[in-house]
Parts: sequence; structure tokens; C-alpha cells
Amino acid sequence: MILIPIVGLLIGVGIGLFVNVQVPVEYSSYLSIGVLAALDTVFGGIRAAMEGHFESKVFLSGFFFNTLVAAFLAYIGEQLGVSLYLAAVFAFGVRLFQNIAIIRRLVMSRTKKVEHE
Amino acid sequence: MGITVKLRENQKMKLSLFTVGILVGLMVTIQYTGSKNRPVPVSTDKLELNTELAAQLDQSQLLYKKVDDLESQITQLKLSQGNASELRSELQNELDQVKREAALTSLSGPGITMKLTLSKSLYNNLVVLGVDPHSLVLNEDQLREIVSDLFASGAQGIAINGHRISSYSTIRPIGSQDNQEMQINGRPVTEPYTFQVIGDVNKLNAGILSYQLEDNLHKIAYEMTVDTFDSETGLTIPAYQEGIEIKYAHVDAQGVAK
Repeated sequence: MILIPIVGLLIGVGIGLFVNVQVPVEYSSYLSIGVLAALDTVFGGIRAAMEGHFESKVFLSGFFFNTLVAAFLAYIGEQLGVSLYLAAVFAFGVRLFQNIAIIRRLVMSRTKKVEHE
Repeated sequence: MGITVKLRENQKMKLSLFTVGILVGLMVTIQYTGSKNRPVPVSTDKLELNTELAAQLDQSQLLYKKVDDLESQITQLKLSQGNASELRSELQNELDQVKREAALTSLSGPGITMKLTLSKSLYNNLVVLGVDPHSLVLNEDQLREIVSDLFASGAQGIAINGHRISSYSTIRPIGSQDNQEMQINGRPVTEPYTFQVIGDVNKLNAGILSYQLEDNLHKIAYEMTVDTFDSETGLTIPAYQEGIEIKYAHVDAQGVAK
């Protein structure tokens, strides 16, 4: 299960290196927040898949929505002079680590189960 | 039916994760490559800025010092180049002067020409008067005496029949007593003898008179014709043509004239 997004990630990295797209400097902060949101969605998706309640629609919509909203929050924060992107960083960062911890536990329990069997 | 739905859901999940994985990979790569090429952001922290400013000032002072050093080096080089060319021209002037004094260059200037010709009428008259015809000869001693008299009268350069007189010049007789010829600088010279002399015209003429050159020449049946060239480039005398090879002598450092 974990291998599928990792393979996709590697392919995406390969495409990115091959295409060599350059984002203007002023948009790079939005992209970084978007990346964080996307990573959070991916780990959330992996967790949901491992727990058996994965829903493609929720996952895909969450990916695009979270990414765009995070970038938008960063933009609004910049316009207002408030570091709103920190909210996104905090929320996604905390959730990311939570998901990673749960994935780790699930993997460990599964390994234990396989060992028992 | 339930299994088919489950399989389809499973495929969808894999496809979604795969697609999103690609997108995340793409985003991460774009962000990574973009941030690598991006200039380092300037800090807004006052302390950091002050530290950076101090470091930059130190750096700029170092660079200014380096620029000063390099500029002074350039100036020194330029000066040394200037000195070298000055020295070269000075040495060239000195060399030219030495060459002039050694009669190794041709000279032009005001001066006189003295033509000494054996006069047949004077010769016959003297012979009739009982003078020994063998004594009626312009010999090497008399030529040397005339040269000395001219130098004593301020001559700057002398040539006899186109042969320049220098400190290495030789004036000597060749042939028999009856058929005597002169050799100047190793080249045969015959009468008439033409002296080309560069110098102060008035002084030279005064010298000719005071040394009674004409009277002395009349005594040996020779006539003297003097032509004067007053203008600056009136007369040109050639350089000493014979080579000077100093083989057995060396310069005594203590004896060099100042």
C-alpha cells in the first residue's frame, strides 16, 4: 500500500527534474504551503487506506482543496500583513506527524500479526 | 457484486494515491529546484542585519585596501617604465655624444674648406732661386701640423680628401722619396689636399692667419684656397670609416673621465 504513493512520488520527481518547471519567486511561498498540504493529504490517504476507510473522492477533493486553501491562506495573510500561513503550517504539520505515527503503529501491528501467524 | 465493487474501490484508491503521489513529487521537485536557484533571502532581524553590515563593511574595506595596493603597484610600474625610457634616452644621448667625439658620426655645420695645391709657378720660382726641389714637398709632419693648428683653432671635425681625422687616424707617407704619396687612415691620398673643417668660421680663419699657414705653404710652393660656409648645414664631413677594434686594452675604472 505504501509503495504505490512512493512510486508515484518518484515518478513525479522524475517528471519534475525532466520538465524543469520554474515557479516565480513571489509564488514559491504558496507552493511550499501547498506541498505541505499535499503531503498531509497523502499521509492521511495512506492512513485511511491502511485503516480500511479510504474514499477516493474524499482523498482527491481533500488533496486539491487543502492545497489550494493553504496557498490561498498564505496569499491572504500576506495581503493582510498577518502570517496566516503559520496556521496552515501548524495544522498540517501536527496532522502530518499524527498520521505518520498512526501509519507507523499500523505497520508495526501488521508486522507483529504476520510474525504471530 | 460486493467483491467487484470492492475491487473497483481498491483500484480507485491505488490510482488516486498514485496520481497524488506523482503530483506531490512534481510539486516537491519544482519547489526544491526553484529554491536552489533562488537568491538567499535577506534577513529582517536588526542584529543579524547589523552583523551582516559590519561584515560587508570589513569586506569592502579589505577590497578598498586591495584596490589601493593594486593602484600603487600600477603607479610604480608606470613610473619605472617612465624612468626606463628616460634612462634609455639619456644613455642614447650619451652614446651619440661619445660617437660624435670619437668621430664615428658624420657632422654638418658651418666651417671652411682649405684646398692645398702645388703651384707650378711658385715651384719654378723657388727652384730658380736655388731651393732644393726635394724639400718642396708637403710631407706628413706638415699635414699633421696643419691638423693640430686647426684643432687648436676650434675645429670640431676635420676630413682630408674625404677621410675623417680621429684619434685613431694615421697620416703617413708611402712610396719613394721622388714619388711620394700620402696615406690617410690607410687610404692613398694625393695632392691637392682638401681640408674640410667644421667649427667657428671666424676662429678658424683667425687660426689660419695666426699660425701663418699660407706663408708656410708658400715656402714649399703650395697655394691655399679657403672657402667659408657660414650656414648651419653648410658643410658635411663623413664619419671615420675604419673599424676600431680594442683588443689588447681594457678600461681602467679609476681612470674614467668624469
